[in-house]
Amino acid sequence: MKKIFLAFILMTGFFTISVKAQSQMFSLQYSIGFGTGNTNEFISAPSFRGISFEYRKFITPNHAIGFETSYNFFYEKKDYATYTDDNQSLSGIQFRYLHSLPILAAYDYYFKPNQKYNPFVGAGIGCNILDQRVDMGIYSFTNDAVQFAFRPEVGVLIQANRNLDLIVAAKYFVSTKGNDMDGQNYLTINLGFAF
Amino acid sequence: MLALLTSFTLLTSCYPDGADYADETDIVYTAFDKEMDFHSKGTYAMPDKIVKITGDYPDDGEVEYIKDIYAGPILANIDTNMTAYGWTKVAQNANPDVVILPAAWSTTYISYWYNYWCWWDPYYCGGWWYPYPVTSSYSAGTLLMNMIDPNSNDPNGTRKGVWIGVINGLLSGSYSQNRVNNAVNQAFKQSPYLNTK
Repeated sequence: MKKIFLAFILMTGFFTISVKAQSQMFSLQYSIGFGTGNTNEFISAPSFRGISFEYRKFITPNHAIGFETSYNFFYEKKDYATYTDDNQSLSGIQFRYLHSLPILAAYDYYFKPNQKYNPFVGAGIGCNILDQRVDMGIYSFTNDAVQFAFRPEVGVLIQANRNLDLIVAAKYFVSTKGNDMDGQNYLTINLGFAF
Repeated sequence: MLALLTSFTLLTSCYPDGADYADETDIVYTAFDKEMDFHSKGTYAMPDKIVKITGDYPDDGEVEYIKDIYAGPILANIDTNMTAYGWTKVAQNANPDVVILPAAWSTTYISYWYNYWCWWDPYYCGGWWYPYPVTSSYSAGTLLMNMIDPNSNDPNGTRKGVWIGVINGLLSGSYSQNRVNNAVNQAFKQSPYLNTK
């Protein structure tokens, strides 16, 4: 089994070398999310469970297009509280969950290609698949939605060696109200590898 | 891909799964009739037993009750809360302003049936209606405090529900009087309009 993994890693390694030569870039990032607006109102705790996968094709050394998908999972246990609506009140501990899975087409502009530090700005547009859930007592309330989404991004690629870059980026995801769910917004700080 | 798999494994392995303790599932629901002027009322009656709703109403009307050892402290606590809000307990035939009909059940998905109180007073066999939304079934451990206006009478012979307090939570291995008391207290705490003072 170990051999298979080793072979796999080696193959993947060769593959990434070759794709880099073809002006393509794959990136895998760890993502920390901070809800803003409605998302923050729902869950104010930051999300330390996030991942982002990106693919870019360089049109020129400065311009790249591609796609990406990411996943951020927000969770918060609220303190015991009373929620009142008109003549009804409900008290209890709420467990709140939000799964966010944006799938976006992306464009990046790179300022200093082939240099040690290569800052970039980017934009993405697509959809965000959202799953919101509130558990209270033995009851569970869920709300699913697919919303129109876009995000600006700033970041920097840092050359680690000939085949590998480190990537640090900040993205601001905005998805607009739809499917009976309020629009969700959150900022992510991403750290990862690009190869 | 390996990194991706590893990441997903790490992500899923630390997935939070909500309540750790049974009492974290306790919820307290209350609702009231907006047309009811509680402030002008002052007397209430309540049975000395808590009906155990079993799902099948017995043909002979011989309903089950929660054991006195459990029901006694719950009823006493309801009395304490009512007294604190300025209510005076009277006998059911002393023309009370409101009547509290407590019920409890521990099994799943049982509708709340009115005829469980025929034993106490046939007057309440007629049932009641609510001027607020009420879920017809609750599951797990439930204590329901149903306050009705015995002087209301609609053409169908049903009484009007003026307040409802529902306590619901997962049952744990051992019964906790404290847990139930806290929830009953919470039901009154979040219903300050019941205060007649």
